[in-house]
Amino acid sequence: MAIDILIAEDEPSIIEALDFVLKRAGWSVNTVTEGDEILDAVRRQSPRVLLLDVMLPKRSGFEVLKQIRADKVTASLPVLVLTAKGQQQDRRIAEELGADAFITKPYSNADVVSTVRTLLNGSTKT
Amino acid sequence: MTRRKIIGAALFVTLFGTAAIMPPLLFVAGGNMDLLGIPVAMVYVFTIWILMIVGAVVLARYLPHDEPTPPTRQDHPS
Amino acid sequence: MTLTADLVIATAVAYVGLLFLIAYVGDRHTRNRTGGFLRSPFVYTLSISVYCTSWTFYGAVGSAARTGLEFATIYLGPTLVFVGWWFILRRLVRISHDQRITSIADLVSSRFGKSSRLAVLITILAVIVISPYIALQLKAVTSSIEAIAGASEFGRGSLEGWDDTGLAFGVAACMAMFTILFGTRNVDAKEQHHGVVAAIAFEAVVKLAALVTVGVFVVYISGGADAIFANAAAAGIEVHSTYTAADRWISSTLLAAGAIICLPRQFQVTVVENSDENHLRTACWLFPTYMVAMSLFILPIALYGLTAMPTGSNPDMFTLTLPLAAGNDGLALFAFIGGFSSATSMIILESIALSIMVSNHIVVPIMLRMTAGDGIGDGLGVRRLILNARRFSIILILFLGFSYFYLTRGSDALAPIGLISFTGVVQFLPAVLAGLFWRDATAKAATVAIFVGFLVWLWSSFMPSFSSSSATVAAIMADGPFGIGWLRPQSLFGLEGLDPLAHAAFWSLFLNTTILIVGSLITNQSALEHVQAALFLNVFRKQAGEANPIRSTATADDLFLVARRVLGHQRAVNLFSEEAKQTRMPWTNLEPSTAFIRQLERELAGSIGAASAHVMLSKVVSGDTVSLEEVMQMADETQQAIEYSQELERTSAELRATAEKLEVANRELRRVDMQKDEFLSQVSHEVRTPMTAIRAFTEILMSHRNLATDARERFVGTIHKESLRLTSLLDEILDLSTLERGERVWENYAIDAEESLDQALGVCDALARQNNTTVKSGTRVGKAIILADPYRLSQVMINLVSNAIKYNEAPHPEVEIHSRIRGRNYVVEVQDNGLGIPEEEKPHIFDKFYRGRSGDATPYAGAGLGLPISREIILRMNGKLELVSGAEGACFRITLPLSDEQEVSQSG
Repeated sequence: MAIDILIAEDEPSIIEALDFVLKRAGWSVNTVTEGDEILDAVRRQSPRVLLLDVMLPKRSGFEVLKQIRADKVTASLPVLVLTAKGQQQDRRIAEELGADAFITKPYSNADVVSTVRTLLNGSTKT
Repeated sequence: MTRRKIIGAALFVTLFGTAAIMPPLLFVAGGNMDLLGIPVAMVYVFTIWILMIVGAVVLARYLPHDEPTPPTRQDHPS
Repeated sequence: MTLTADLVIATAVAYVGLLFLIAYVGDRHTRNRTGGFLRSPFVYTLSISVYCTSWTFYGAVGSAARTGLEFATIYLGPTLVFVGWWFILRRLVRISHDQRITSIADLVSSRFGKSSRLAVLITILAVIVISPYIALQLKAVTSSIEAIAGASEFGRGSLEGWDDTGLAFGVAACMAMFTILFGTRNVDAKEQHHGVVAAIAFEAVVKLAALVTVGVFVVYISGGADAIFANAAAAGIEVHSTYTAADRWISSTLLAAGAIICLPRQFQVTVVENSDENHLRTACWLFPTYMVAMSLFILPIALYGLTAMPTGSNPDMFTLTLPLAAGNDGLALFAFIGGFSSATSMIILESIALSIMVSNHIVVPIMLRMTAGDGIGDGLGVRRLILNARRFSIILILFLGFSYFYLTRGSDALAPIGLISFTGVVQFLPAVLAGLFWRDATAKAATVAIFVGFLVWLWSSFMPSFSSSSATVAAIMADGPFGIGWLRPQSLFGLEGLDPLAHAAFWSLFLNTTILIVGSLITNQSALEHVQAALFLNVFRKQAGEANPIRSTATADDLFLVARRVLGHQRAVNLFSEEAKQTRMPWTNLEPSTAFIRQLERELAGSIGAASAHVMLSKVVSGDTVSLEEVMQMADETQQAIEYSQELERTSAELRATAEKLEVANRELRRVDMQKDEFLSQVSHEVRTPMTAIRAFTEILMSHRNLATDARERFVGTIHKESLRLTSLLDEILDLSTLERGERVWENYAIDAEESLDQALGVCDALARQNNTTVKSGTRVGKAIILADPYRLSQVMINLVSNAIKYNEAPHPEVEIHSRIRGRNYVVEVQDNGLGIPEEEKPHIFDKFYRGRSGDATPYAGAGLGLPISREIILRMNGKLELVSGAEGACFRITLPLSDEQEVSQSG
């Protein structure tokens, strides 16, 4: 029961918007809202792309990203990091931790869709 | 010796050296005497000169080194 | 091999080539490595030995031949200054490092309020005063070449047809060229020239070796030192009473002592080029030792020369002519090189030092004034201009030296010429010493004092040296100007019987010093002078705070000083004791909190305007390189600085005591700064989150025209909700920042707090019902008159009650309100039966943007500003808002002081 995209985000309205846009683009989508649920969800649902918010309750997105990269099974999962802090520093940290893409909120829906598409295509090729 | 006394000693060497090479004391060392064939006045001036230098060598070592070491005691209130 | 003029000139040129090489290698060496041999105390000492010029090498022998031991005074004076380095030189070096001093003119001008008039005066005087000294070197080199040329039949070689003047001009021209090539290759901001210093140090070794070798040679061929004295005595030379009159002895010792400080080149090598204060510790004995070594053989050479050379030979040239006469050409050449070394090193350094003064104090200021409208232009142009100014001044300086040589060519002794320069340059000494030790010396007095001293020098010392070449001067010397006897240059005011040197030194220094002291007593300092005087005097006191310029210098005392300058003593004291009382800290341990600094800034802004206050305080508070003293200077521009000096003295003890706390305070400040950054990034996050939802849904609505109506309505609803959230967030941020800055006019008046509480409960009623929460009114006071703003008080109570409702996860949520009078306070408690606030969150609950975990789970995720705003409001009503510990669920307590009215009604 593999899905295309797992969204890790805690703002209900943002989840709703992402869910709508990504489903409209033709992908299957699931959502987690808390940081410590992500790893589990990734293992069980094996998404092809993870949309990861940085400011998550219980465990920060960066911490989760580090764990994902450390785990052999999930190490190659394409991760798109979303952040509302919009600081240069966050982008650097994300890159250092091995994020595949980085988008600052507020984003345009088209950007998210096209980035996710690129990541999905990348993952099918390998 | 305390810091102040060392500085006092430096002042003394300087002032005493000044006095020693100035006329009253200088004339005391005059006269027509020779020391090993050399006029006493010349011997006197050079002796005082060298003594001042010796004093400076000693004092240079003991005069306080208060360069870049601000008082950093580790007990500041926090 | 016979020595000819051609040979020695060729040797001299080769020797200069060697100096270039050394300077080049020296520059490379220091550029590649920081430190190294060139920064050792030995090289430093050797460079100071530039003091021993051809005056020493040739002139001292001549002086010893004429007046015996007197030559030694020229070295005893500097010995005293160096042995007493702790008292004067150390201060000079420290001040010059602190103040980035580039020359003696810079030093004096800086002390006297950065007076450009003084800098220009000293520069011009120095150039004039040094010209005899330069002439002395030209004369010595010329004579030494002549001595060799005259020693053999064909010695003149290509010099045939050149007279003294021509030769001296040639020497001066070559020297100007050397110096320009040497010293003006680059402009160094700190005016340190390591390559030149290396070459000068090398020359110091050469001249010492040459003189000692000649001395040993003389003692050897004459059969020992005692034999020299015995032979001299036998030849009828008075060897015992060979020291001069007391007045002359004292004068020349004093002049030499002053000259070692005031000569531009000595100031340059000793003070400006000093790279480490501790080098003085070595130089203080090594330099006197060098001078002893230089002096040791002077008298033997002179006496042997007097007995061995034919009568009428020039005693100034004995060092060179004795080896020549003995047929030892190799030694003679070495002696020539030694003399040449001492002359070149002096000329090079003196003209570099003077040219720096001319370019920095005359040319650059004029240029800056001329280009005031359009800035300074590009840096390259300035550089070229400075270098050209220096080149020009070098030529000017050598030209003046040559002119002096030309006009006074009748006189032949070297030493008296040098003493003329000494007398002139020592006119700077009173101002320098006053700068170091006397706080009240004023610029006006110093300017006049130096100028008068210079005039007296010009009249009684400089002018008489022209008497042999000018009949007018000779007439003035004999009868005074227009026959006025008491103005005769060498017996001013009828002072007869004093040696001319002592006469000139006495009158010039006496008038100079008197004018400086009396003038300072009757004139006032400018504000800047005041500050500079204190800086010079306290140069060793502030070091604890100044040790590392990057460190912040903000202590309570620093702030107090600033506050005091601007607000006056009483207001500053009030402000600080209030803060001390509030934080329950003794005055001296007061650590400036951010709130306090903000308050202080407001107070300052009232006096000097907001912008200045802000700049001033942020410079004290932040780890800026700007020191406290500089801020003090800013304050001086707006406020009078009269009390500054006493203040510094009185608080310096406190300053030292708090210096240790600097680091602690610093860490605190850094934390505050980080908090500010954190706040901004949180604001950014809080604003971006609703913006994201708004943008996303707007785009969905725009690009999906055929959405189902219910979906469309839901999305529009979300957009609306999020924009409301954004608005209230911005409102809250603004609200909080106004509250914190305290700008809003805040009026507390007597109201019934219970009424506000009832109002709040009413407002929350709907919310409670929506959440199925029971709001119970427990024990209530009924009436409590307090001083408050009713609208703000309700705002706080609504916030507390609605929080208790919104974040209550109990199955049967309940909120209970109690109020009571406790002592002279009115107390309200809002208690819920939820899970309470986890222990680890308690310390942060009042932080901005802090939202407890439970907050995230509910649909009411606020911005996390409610509690900080509430606390700020209650603070403004002189009350406090706190989280009651140990309660079940969460319990917030407001404590507000009752107004006097209430107390009356209670007791009555």
